Amino acid sequence: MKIKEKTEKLENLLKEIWEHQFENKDLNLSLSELKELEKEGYIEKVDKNGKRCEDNGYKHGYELQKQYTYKLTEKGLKVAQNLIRLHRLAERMLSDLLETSDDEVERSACKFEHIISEEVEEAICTLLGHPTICPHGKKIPKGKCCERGMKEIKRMIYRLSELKPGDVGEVKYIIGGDEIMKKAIALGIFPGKTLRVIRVFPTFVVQIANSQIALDENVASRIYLMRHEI
Amino acid sequence: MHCHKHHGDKIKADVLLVGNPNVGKSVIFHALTGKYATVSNYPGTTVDIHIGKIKGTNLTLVDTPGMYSFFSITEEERIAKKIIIESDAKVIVNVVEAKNLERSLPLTLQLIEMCKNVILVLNAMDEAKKFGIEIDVERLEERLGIPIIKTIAIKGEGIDKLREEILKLTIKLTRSQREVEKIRLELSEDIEKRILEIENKIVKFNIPKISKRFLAILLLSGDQDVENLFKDKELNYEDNIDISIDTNMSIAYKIAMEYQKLANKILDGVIEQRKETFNDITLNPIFSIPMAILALYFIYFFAGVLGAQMVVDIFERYFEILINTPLNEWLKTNIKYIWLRELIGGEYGIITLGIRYAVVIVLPIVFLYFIAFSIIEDSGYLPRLAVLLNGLFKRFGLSGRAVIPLMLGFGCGTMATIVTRVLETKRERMIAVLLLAIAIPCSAQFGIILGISPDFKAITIWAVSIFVVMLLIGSFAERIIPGERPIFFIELPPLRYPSIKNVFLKTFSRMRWYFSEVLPIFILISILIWIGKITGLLQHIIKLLSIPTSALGLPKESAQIFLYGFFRRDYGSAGLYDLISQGILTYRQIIVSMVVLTLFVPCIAQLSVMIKERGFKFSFIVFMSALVIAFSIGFILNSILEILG
Repeated sequence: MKIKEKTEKLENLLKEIWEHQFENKDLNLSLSELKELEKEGYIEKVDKNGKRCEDNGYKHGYELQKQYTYKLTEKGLKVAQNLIRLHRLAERMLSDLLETSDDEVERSACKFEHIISEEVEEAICTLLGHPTICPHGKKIPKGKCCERGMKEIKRMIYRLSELKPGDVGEVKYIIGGDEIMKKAIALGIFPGKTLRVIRVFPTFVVQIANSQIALDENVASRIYLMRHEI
Repeated sequence: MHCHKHHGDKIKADVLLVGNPNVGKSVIFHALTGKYATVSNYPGTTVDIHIGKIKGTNLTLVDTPGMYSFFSITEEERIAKKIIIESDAKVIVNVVEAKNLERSLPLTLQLIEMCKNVILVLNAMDEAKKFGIEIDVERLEERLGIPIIKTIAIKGEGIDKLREEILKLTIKLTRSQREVEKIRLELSEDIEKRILEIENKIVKFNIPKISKRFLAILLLSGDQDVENLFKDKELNYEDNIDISIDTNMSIAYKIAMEYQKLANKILDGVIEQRKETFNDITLNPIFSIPMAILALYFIYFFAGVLGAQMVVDIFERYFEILINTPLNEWLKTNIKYIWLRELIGGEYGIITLGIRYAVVIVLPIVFLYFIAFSIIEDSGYLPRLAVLLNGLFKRFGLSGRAVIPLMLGFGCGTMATIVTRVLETKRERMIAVLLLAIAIPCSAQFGIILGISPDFKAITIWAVSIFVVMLLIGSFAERIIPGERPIFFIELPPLRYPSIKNVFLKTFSRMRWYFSEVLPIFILISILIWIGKITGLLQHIIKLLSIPTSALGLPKESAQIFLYGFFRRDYGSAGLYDLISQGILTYRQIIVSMVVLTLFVPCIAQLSVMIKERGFKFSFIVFMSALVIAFSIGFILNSILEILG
């Protein structure tokens, strides 16, 4: 039990550093925590230019730390990236499939990330149609299954661009810039709405409520739906 | 555009018509106003704004361009939004299609939020009934706190009631406090918090008569136009209002979604749909292609055959007899200065060329073209054509939306160049302008090309060559012009019978606008030619042009034709017609010159509009490319035909 708690704590620290490094989030780790991670070989000190600092001691004191920052090592990056991915996949699943409330999503996702095995991870990712962003709009790092485009497991979430005429689905989320989102919502395409595909060539045409909407493939590929079984 | 006098002006209105595109706003407009309406452009744009007086009253009614939401992106939506914000209208009539009430209600709520007097019109109630939709109007009225009128505008049903309600509200001016309290349009907690923050910051500024809360919402959504309102006040906007967006999910999207949620809540128990409405209507791929060809042929028949060939012939003959000949004789006897005679009359005078072109050639062609175009537009077919052509246009870096300017280009390239403004990105506009300038023949030119083509084989070779060049230019432009690919996302309105009255009203308003644009240009062209002749400059240019034309194996007379082609593309073609009837050109030479003339530089009117729209540098590049492309394609074609015999 003790060991498990310890790994969980370590993993959370790694996630924070990852977010700091890739998403410019503020770093709120204590010196001792950083030291610990460095000792384990997960992170290394780098200077402003991203070059590794040879000076390993802490003799310059806390103030001088501002001059350098921490970067994940290859080992650390592998672990952290996977954790971020698991966390965000879990969020996606909880909010899209189980329609859990926002608070609950966050709480559960934080537990999920530490216990999901690789097979379960791939199954979830495939089920969700290899999503690229989490419900908060942040990127989900790609997994092996995304690159393979795994399809053995029955999927539930599809991109609109993957559907065929006659398919019916419920919109789950839309990714893409402001323009697409605003237009989508103006035309009545937004999470929770059911639409039916009428045509996929030369342009996608869908029926939503009582109107028909035409959209290009580059828009259709950004709309994710849960396909209804026919 | 000649609308400088409008700058800074606001559109004045007592009553505004607001709603999604294609919901019958313009039909309601005409029903309320009777036939007298003036159409003007919103300053700096080509978006039509219809203004009229409500029958039997002194109230000014303005029909705004179609809009889906205040969190808008298209030019039309932006203008509609600006009119709503700027005008001091007493009443807003929000027209929605009854069957799309669910989707349209967020806009209604946004309008109510602005604290203006809103009347909700549920139009096309008959269509809604067909879909098995029932709406509990009384309950909805109670929940929204605004009057609701049911109409079937095309049959005139409900219009009188609407007029009554408008009159009632213009007198009453504002909703009573009790009514206002009835609806609380509260958004989610975090958004409300930020709205309040911004509201507190702007509360001290004295700007438009719309609610501060709604201004705050628009600011929060990142609305540039509202931001500018504050900037115009010379306030340091950036310092005063800080809007930081903490997630990648756009805040405008969030707000829009919340309005939709609110709308759903309000409609709960109000709207009922009995039938499953998933019924396919059109869009069958087997029918759509022949239908598109039919539509294009329809336009071609009107503008190309009826206009360019028949009516122009008749008009020209009479203009010659009634005006040109007597005028020239009168000039000969009464004016002794040759230079003055040449300026007014002669071959290229202001009257004999400038006015003649505008009245005799352009008027009938453009008029008939606009009639055909308006019929197709009002039938709801254009978006379907856009769907069909989107795949092809994508290769050019355009979206299906470009079907409107490109189709207009077959009517008149000058006008089409202006209309490229309906395209959403600068990149699309550049590409469309480029294609219009080089590869798309205008109806006048097209008509004459058809006339001079010796047989069907020749016209086929011509069409194939032009199409290939269009593909090449388009794909090349898509590669080299930087910028994002366009988003194609469009609603398909139901197919409807166009109202003939509406078609004519639209055509007349377009004609009026068109003439104010082109007539001054035509007159300017006559003056330029006159200067060129007087100074001998024209002769030099013709000499210069004869170098490439002789390389194409064309006789030296053709150089002059190309120069005329610049002044009017169709005039060049007409010159070609002369050469052919004199029997100077061989079969191969005819085909080559048909192609080269089509690809040759845009006419001077189009060029001047292009400079206005896209700047001198871009236009210069297009101009030079057209020269190079026209002659090199001509050269290649000539060689191919020579080899094939």
